[in-house]
Amino acid sequence: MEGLSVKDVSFTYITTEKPALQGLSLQAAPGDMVAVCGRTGSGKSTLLRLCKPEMAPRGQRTGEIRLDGVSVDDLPARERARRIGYVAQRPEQQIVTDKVWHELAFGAESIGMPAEEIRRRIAETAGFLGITAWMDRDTASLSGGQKQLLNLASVLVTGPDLLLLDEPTAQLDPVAAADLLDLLARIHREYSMTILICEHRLQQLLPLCDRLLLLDEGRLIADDTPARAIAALPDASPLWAGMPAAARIQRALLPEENETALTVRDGQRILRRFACTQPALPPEDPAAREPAVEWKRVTVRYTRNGPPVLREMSLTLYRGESLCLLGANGCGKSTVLHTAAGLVPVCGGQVLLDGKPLRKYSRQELFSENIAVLPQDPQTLFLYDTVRQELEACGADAAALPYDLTPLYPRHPYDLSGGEQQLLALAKALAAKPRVLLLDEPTKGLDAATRDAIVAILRRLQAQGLTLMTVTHDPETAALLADRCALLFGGEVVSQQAPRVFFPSNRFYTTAACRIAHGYYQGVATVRDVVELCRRNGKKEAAP
Amino acid sequence: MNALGKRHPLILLLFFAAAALPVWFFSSPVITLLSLAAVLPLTGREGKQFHLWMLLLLAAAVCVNGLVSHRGQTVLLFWNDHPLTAEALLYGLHAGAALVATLYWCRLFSRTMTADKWLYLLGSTLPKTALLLSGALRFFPLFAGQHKKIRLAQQGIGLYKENSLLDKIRAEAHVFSALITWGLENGVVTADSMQARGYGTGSCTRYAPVRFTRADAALLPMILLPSAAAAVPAATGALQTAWYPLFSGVPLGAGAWVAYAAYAAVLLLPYLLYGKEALQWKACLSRM
Repeated sequence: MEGLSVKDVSFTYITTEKPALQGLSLQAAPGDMVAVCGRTGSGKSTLLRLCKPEMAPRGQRTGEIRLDGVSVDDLPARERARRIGYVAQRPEQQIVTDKVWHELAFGAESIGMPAEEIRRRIAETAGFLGITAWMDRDTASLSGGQKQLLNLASVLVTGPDLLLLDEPTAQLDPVAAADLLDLLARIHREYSMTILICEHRLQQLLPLCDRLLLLDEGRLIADDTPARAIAALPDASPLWAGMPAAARIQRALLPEENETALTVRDGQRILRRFACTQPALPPEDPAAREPAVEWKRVTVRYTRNGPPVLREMSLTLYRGESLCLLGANGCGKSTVLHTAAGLVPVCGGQVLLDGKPLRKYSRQELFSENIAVLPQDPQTLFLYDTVRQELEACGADAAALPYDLTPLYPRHPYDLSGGEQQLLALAKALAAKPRVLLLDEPTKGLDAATRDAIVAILRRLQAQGLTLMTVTHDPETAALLADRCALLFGGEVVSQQAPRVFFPSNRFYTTAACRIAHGYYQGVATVRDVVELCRRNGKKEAAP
Repeated sequence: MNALGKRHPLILLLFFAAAALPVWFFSSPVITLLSLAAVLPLTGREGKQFHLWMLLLLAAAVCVNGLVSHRGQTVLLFWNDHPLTAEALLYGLHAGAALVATLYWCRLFSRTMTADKWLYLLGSTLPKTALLLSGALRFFPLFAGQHKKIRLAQQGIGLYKENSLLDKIRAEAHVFSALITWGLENGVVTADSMQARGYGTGSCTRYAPVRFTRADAALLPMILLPSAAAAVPAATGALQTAWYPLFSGVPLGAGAWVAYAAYAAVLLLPYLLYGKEALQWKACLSRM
């Protein structure tokens, strides 16, 4: 049997009773690109790791996993290392050496490939991926997206037959993520490699895949073409949150259709079947406007002669609102947050909190009942061995939170899932009862359902009177979370509007729902908005 | 220095040894002067501050030796009942110049002989150690970066808001322990990644982006021969200089001249390479 064949595999972790995988079977031929999708804890990572025995978690496994007819356990270690490539989520931690060329050579060196052949393979891989210019760079100097590309490249150097990718784009910004997925599409198109990929960004991934596997609680609930697998998904499934916008719109409006819409173009075709008598949703009323934080012509520079990160930037965060600051990677979004908490020195202009210059506040005043920052990486907030200690040490009032952390109390913060870590970090940030909460990418690396849950919690906190300012590069998050969106570019705020005005007027930096509605409807930001507007307009009369 | 930096690490190592070590082994004023004269034009990348420090060091060497050493016959003046002699000042000047010249060479060496070149040299004899070092080199900036991130994150929720020193120390201790946890957690993933790519499955080969070319081989005698030509007369005492009680003067015998010329030939190497590169480029341009 050619390719990867998983037969009746069950797996139970050594620490738990409940099986993580139950009787799972699948078949992937050479050249197949298979997306594996499921909620956190559905067993998708476990499945991927079991296909690579070196990465297999500890526990009890039954059933068989074969590559080209040979059980992966029986493959000689070197051949296994060469033929099965594995790329994990966090780009930083997988890099072993300090130079790009050495990183590329590492795998080939380890399996004893002759130096001449390594040279040739590095040359062709680097050429194919377009990374020849970085060969002499320090790996530490690469951006997150470049690091992940390097990880993929160093796996490709040895020429694997099976490529396992565990959420490779989760930690990347949308542009870098799209680049990586494009590259995978090219590898898929041009080489007969079996690719198994776990991903949250189904919007871009699914149109590239041959098959979609849906996992739920360790069971395979669908294994089919993406269109058919989605068509079989029950309405109530939490997996819908991450499905392509077109498919969601179709399910909400035309559930009887059997050809599932996947791409933006499919979605546009669906929309055209609805009337356009009311082309926009009514705009939301702006609430009362009393400034909480004001940036007045703020300039920040990190080096004396380099260009400033923020250039006379002015922005106002109003009390009780939820503002999202969007922008590309490295455009200074996080710096804006840091200036509001006095973590970064301001070179020009000033920041006002409640009308009083920030520098007139003592640290004590500022961080007690005024401002808190939720950092990008929740792990940077964790200092203790259990969740309980974390909360007690900062005096957090668990009862006042709109969610329950008590089941997690005995666990180590690092052992929590991404979403749970974010909630714990949020609890710590809320401990000092801030009135303004500044969040740096709170939904990074989370699956769509978890992202929606976090957004809902933040919205509830906002309803209790908290002012939110969120920095994100993910338009989908901003569309759900923001009352107002601002775009940062070249160190300045170039536009600020309500999401239903902001996103439809953007052509590229926008949500999938807006791309679908473009040229037809205005005043929508999310899938729910589009569905609502379609319902208001009603189906077009059938042509006579 | 760029032209030399492109050569094989072994050549680099040899050249720097041949340029810097004679200053100490021969201890001759002419050698020291030659060395200093050769290294100074190559230090264009250093800031003003570095040169200023070097000047201060030189002045300090003269002063300290003059004040501490009272040997020598030519007394210039008495200071606190101690004689200040011309010989002591002169010796201080020489030792200071030698020190400064060596420091310049070291600085230049560390700029040219980057970590990956060291690792390459080490890798041929100790591949495991070389890999360990390579990992460590990557780990330090990573660790420092994470430390900064954790500090900033903790500040952002007000960990450092108290002003007492004790609180600050306590906070720093927590940050450090968090850093260790992160490091261990991080290390596990890296180890996984190494294993996934076949590390430890048997003897490994070694790939290096640099090769010992014919041009490198041609440079070998250009360093070794003059070095030997300088070392032989030096070893037979042709460069012997007495500083106390009376400065014997600069050695100027036939052997000494051979040593000076040979050492100068070594020092000329980076300039020759630079000149050759410039000429080649010019010839290239004219053919375009």
